[in-house]
Amino acid sequence: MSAEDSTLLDIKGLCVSFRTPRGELFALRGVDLRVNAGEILGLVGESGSGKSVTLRAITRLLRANARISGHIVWRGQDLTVLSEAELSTIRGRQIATIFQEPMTALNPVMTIGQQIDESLNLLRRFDARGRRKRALELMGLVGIASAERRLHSYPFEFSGGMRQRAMIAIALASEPVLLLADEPTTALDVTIQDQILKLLGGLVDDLGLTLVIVTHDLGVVAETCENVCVMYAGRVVERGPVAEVFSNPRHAYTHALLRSVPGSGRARELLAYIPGQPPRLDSMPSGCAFAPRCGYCEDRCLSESPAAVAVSPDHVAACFAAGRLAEVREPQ
Amino acid sequence: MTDDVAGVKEAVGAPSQTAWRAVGFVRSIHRLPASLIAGGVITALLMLAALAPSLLAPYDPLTFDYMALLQPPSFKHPFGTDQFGRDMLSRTIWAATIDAQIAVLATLGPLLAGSAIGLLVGYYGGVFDIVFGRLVDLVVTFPFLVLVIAIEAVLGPGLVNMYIAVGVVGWVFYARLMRVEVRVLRDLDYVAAARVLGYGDLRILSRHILPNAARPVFVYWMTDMALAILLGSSLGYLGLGAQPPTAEWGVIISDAKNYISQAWWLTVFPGVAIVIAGIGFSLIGDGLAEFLDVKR
Amino acid sequence: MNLKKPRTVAASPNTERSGPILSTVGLTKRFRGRRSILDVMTGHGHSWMTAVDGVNLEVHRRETLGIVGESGCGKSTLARCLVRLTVPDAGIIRFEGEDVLALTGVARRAYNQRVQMVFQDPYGSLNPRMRIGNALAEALTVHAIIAREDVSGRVNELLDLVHLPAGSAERYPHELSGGQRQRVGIARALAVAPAVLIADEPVSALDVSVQAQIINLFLELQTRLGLSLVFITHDLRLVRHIAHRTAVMYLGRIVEIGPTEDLFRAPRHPYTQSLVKAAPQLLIRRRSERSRQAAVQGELPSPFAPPPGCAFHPRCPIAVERCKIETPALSTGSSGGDAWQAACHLA
Repeated sequence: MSAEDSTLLDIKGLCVSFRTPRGELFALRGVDLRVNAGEILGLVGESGSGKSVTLRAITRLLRANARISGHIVWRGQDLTVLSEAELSTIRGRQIATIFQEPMTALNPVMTIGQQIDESLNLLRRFDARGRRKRALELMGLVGIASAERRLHSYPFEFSGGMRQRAMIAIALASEPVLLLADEPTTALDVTIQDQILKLLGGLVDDLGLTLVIVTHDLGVVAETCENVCVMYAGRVVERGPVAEVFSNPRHAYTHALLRSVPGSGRARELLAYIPGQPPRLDSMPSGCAFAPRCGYCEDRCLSESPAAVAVSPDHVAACFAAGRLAEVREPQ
Repeated sequence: MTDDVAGVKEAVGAPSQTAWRAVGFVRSIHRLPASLIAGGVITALLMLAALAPSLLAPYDPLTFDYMALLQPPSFKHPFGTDQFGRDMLSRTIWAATIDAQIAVLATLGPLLAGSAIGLLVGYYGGVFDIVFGRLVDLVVTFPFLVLVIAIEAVLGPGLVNMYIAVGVVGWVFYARLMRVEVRVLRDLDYVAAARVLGYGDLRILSRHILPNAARPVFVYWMTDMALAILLGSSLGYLGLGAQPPTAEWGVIISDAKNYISQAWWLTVFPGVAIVIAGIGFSLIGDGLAEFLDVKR
Repeated sequence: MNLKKPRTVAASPNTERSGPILSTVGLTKRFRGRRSILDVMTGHGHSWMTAVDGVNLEVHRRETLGIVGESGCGKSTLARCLVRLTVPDAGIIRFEGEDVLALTGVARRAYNQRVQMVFQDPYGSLNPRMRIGNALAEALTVHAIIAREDVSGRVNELLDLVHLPAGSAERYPHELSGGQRQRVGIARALAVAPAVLIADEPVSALDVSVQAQIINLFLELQTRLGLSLVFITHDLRLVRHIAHRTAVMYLGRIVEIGPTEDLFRAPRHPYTQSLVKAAPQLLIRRRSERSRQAAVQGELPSPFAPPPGCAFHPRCPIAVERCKIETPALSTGSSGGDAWQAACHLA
């Protein structure tokens, strides 16, 4: 099994900046990550980390004032050099996206059936009857009951969970290879979130999809994802298999984050919190962006930005304290 | 919220220390929208003409000069003279007092009364809101000018009656605007917090709601002043506003209507003055809206 | 009630007065739904939803009571009733034994001093045109808690209490971060020296790394000031960490209430069980071991059309006929004593 063969998406040195009245703000400052076929990858980070921007940069769904540099290689093709017309054959077809707020991501004046149909049309394979049949199949696949009737419903008639399922159905209609999910369950209730995540996991298994989930919830990553990229201030600070990264974090941020989440210690004990807050885009510290808040900060962290180092075959961390962190073993 | 939006939004609200703030203030003057500056200049000129016309006007507007009847614009009389030999430039400048007065007096009453009513209706809602809603529907059904003229027809012509007529109808627009703002603010957490902290309604309305609701109303007031000048001039032209011999731009134009074909300068210059004054207030309104929005 | 009560000093664990500090009996609040034009024309009445349905609750001194639930469970409405932001339709609220809803005038104002609230949205919970210091000073002066000349000193003390630098008093809300704003909200609530603090999703809108700071602040303040804390959240990990007792709400009712650790380790009510199962844990499972089965099927019913009998029965894996007809009341089980109750016929 060659790792190169199964790499679907290879992002190298991705930088995204926005031209604003206050100057050029860099949301991504050199992102490297890889997505392999059939995997479930979690992109986790807080505000300012750039996780959503990364996702949108792949299919170039950014604002007009955004500038992209770097390489996004999709199945051997660099997406950043494609024209808009060329990219639109990939976006929505091979790479589909589902968003956080189904109410704003779905067209409120079109029925669900019409929106699935629109997506099916991209395949140019079915006639009207075939499309309707396929739409019903898709709705069944995502667990929408009474599909016949629901085809003619408008988004506002659905609950939050149903809307999210509808959005997944629309995304699946074009038979994508890669599904990008931008905080798909953040706006949903816990039990519904569980349903949607299990649904997505099931679809990955059954349809051979590849899934990238952007989230801020470490628990979601732990339960759903195989691999994880931890992002902070526009960079990937650590990536690797979830089991390894979460049990043996080698970036000071990942380490601190895992310890600060409730449930990691005894009840009603003070949490090991991270002081300060994530840096603003317009006041990015020089050197390592996490240094001002870091408990393992050395002198060089303030002036030098650490390069990504492989601490094991699949596990990469960009931290000068990676070695020291290996010694630290928290009782789980 | 996507990271880019959150990030940029965070960037815009940068933390400041005292030194930073002083620098920021100076920089911010340069950053004032062009419309605000332009409008400010025009309005300042208008106010100067209104408050100190004798400083600007070259001649006494009331002096008849039988040697210079209906003179076209020249160096001696840049705006020409009218059928009595009065210098048009001076007349126009002196008339600015009346028009500026109209701009303020015709809008101040509706602003204050409308804001107060809108504030109360928006905050308390209930039956007041229903009654208010029907009242608004009633007023906006009719064209504004028609209503004002109708009221003046009952009261008689004249500036004071014009103010009354505008007041009776105009407050509705301010009240409507204020009510909308208050309705939104009323549901915000900091108002709820004020109530939980046991603050009285008066305090909540005056310190927590009004300062935050006032902006759009204030901006509208600027635009309304422009409209008031137009209204005043129109009514003045129709003989329902300022009464001759009071110099008001609309009245001046009305006086000159018999001479339009012979002496174009009699109507054009006052007309231009109306337009420029209106533009001045409009620009301030736009500029304020833009400026205050950025701060928000 | 005395308006000029001095700030409560942290009580030592031995000074206990009996009885809960805050309690409700049969608390109910209904809201009217909207009617479309069609409904008006066809003569349909308004639809009603019961946001809080006959809730009996007790908050003990110096404890943290967690209230969890999903959308439409009524936890926020319950919170608003407790601080009298919303007037309930039925039921009694008692504070230190006194009937709160019957209070008027001065006594009612005094109640506001004793029970305070911290809100969810740090961006909407502060008046954008008021400096922080003024907002805090206002709370102090309105209730005439201290002499005028002591106000600025007290403001600094409050800022210190929530670990904000003294210079923050001069700042406007938009100059602070979300976490800092939340601290101000807490300081403002504490300014009037309440005995009970009700926190409605106080950390949900904050970054994960900042949440821990605020949670620690709550823990610290509770010990230091002897507060009773009602902590409302949808985050089970959080409530498990911070609450002594937890109440689980579903469609306006408390379905289970008991000591937090017991409740989470062995929940008695099927809904609590689903909730615990559904909540994402930091437990890593290999892909092959992962369950494809969701914790609970079906959607949350609309509060305007709650299912008859037990509201959870359409989604409940163990529902029987009785559940469709009879609404279960909170009852203690064979174990767990008086403190642990679940509203289930089969628990």
